[in-house]
Amino acid sequence: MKLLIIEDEPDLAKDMAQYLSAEEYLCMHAYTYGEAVEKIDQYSYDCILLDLMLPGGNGMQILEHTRRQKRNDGILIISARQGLEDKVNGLKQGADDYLSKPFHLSELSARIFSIIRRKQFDSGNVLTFNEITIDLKAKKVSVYSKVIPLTRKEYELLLFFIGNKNKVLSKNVLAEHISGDMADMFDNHDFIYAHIKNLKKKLQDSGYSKYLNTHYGSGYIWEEK
Amino acid sequence: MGRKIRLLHKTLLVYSAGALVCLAICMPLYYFIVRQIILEETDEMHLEAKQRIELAFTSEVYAELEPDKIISFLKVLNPGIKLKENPDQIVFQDSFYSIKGIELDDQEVVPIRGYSTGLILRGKPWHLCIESNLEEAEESIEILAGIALLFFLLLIFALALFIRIFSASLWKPFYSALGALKLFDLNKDKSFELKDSNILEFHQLNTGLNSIMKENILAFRRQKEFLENFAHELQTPLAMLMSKTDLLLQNNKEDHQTQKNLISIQESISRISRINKNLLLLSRIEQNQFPEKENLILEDSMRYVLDLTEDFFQERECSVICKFESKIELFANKYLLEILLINLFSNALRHSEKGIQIILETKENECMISNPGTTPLNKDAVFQRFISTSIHSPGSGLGLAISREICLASGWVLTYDFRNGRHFFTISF
Repeated sequence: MKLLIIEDEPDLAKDMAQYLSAEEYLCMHAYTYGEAVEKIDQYSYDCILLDLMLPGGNGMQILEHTRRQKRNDGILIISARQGLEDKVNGLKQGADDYLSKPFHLSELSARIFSIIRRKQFDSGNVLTFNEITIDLKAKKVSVYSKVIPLTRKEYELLLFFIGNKNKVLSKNVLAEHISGDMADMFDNHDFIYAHIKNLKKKLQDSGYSKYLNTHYGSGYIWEEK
Repeated sequence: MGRKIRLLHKTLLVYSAGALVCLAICMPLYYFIVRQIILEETDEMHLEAKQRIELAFTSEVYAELEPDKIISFLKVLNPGIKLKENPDQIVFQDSFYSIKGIELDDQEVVPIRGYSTGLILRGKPWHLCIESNLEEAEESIEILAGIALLFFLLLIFALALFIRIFSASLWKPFYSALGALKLFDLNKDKSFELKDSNILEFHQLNTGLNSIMKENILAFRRQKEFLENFAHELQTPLAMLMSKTDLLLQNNKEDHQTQKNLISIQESISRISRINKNLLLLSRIEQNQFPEKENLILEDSMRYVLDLTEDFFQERECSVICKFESKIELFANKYLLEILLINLFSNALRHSEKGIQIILETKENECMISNPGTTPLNKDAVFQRFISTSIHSPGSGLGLAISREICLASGWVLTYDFRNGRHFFTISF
């Protein structure tokens, strides 16, 4: 799958690419507005990561540009501006999601994952990971075709893990993902243990191949063997 | 400091006290002087009567008349004259005296002024004694004193009126400056300008105040701008730090110690970025960057936020009791209202021991959030930035500052109170 990272900070762009490459993404870079437009016109991408503040132009114009061409590339806005208007405008203009800087690469990866899945599985919106099947529309998870009931938070955690295969994820990152804006208000993220414990138990009871593991007691990892 | 008194009242009081002292000194003095004048006049009259007696006895017109006849003539003019022969030749010195006598008509005690002297008339020694009733004069003094007192009271009244009217208008620039200072809110007002006065002192005062305020407003704005720029500038380096740490974490999967360290670093970076986000939020609220408003029902927002915070309540084993007595409808920004509630809930939670009860109440147009506590917080500092109100609070110290700012921006009032062993945060809509 092809990604275009439009980001004027080369170091950050490289880090993103490095993290995402492990997820079988092919990453391309654009550092300026001109470069971005050129690359967008040449190829199509599964997902475009778009920084709004670019040398040579505004990211919003790139958004309009792609929408005018009626393209189906997923677009994730990455912005240092935390304005709510930016977010609302961006989403109105047709962006698929919005992530404000600074962010965890795992969060980025999970967002890209869900954008691409949403775009790809337009017909059924079903995501399959070996014996696990996830109906993204109905938000239902089944293992070996047997539906297992998950709470909203367990479901979101599962998607987050699958979107970050073989990555070490700390409870801090997981908690921030689950509680969204709320995470800004609290420093203690111990509550995440309970959710993961429950998720693990439900999956184990269904007889899945134990992908979800504790990593040295410091984090969690979804390992595809 | 004790009770405060208004400037104009103070002026009036001082003036009145001064006038009273004046009165206390002047009234006796006035009485004494007037009385003295009357006595001198009376004495002079007596001396004139004596001269008239001498003249009558020596005059050729009366030469044929007996002394008794002359005396009875003179008594018509001055009934107080007593002239007796002094055959024993007792020496009478000239003397004036004041005595009390009894008036024959109505048996009243009256003041009397008398004059006693020895005379040689037609070669014989006489004793002359003239006495005058001063009752009427005394009465006149009293009437005069009464009139003077009346005038004095009139003067005080006029003074009060004068102070009220003239002083009030004289001090008007002062009072308007005072009012402007009282109303001024550094968080809300963008400028401060006092009208110029043609009175030199007020002109100086107003110019001084204007320049101080201008500098303060500017400094405050610069500080806010600085914080905002600072927070903005931090975002990119923070994003770098965060992504580098995330990468390192993945690249050192097998090194346990490094993993642990990296996760600690990651947590610290998360915390810095939270503070940063809150600072930006604060400056955006201050700049009114949340103009969109909609009709909201407070209870719905509270339930929504409760649902969001459920995990945190459970983790701290806290129970929440909701007493929603009134349905409060608001026209406000939904996002800000939620942030406000989240901040207040998390504040209550953060500063509580495990297993306590948090009570959410709505009553009339107020919403109260309370949690148990042992000591009251410092009311002045509680809403200031970066003032951690508890020793075991890991908060960013911005939550309550944000809450206050949201209330300010939305026209609500947020207050803190400590009652019956509970901290109360009350929003009045």
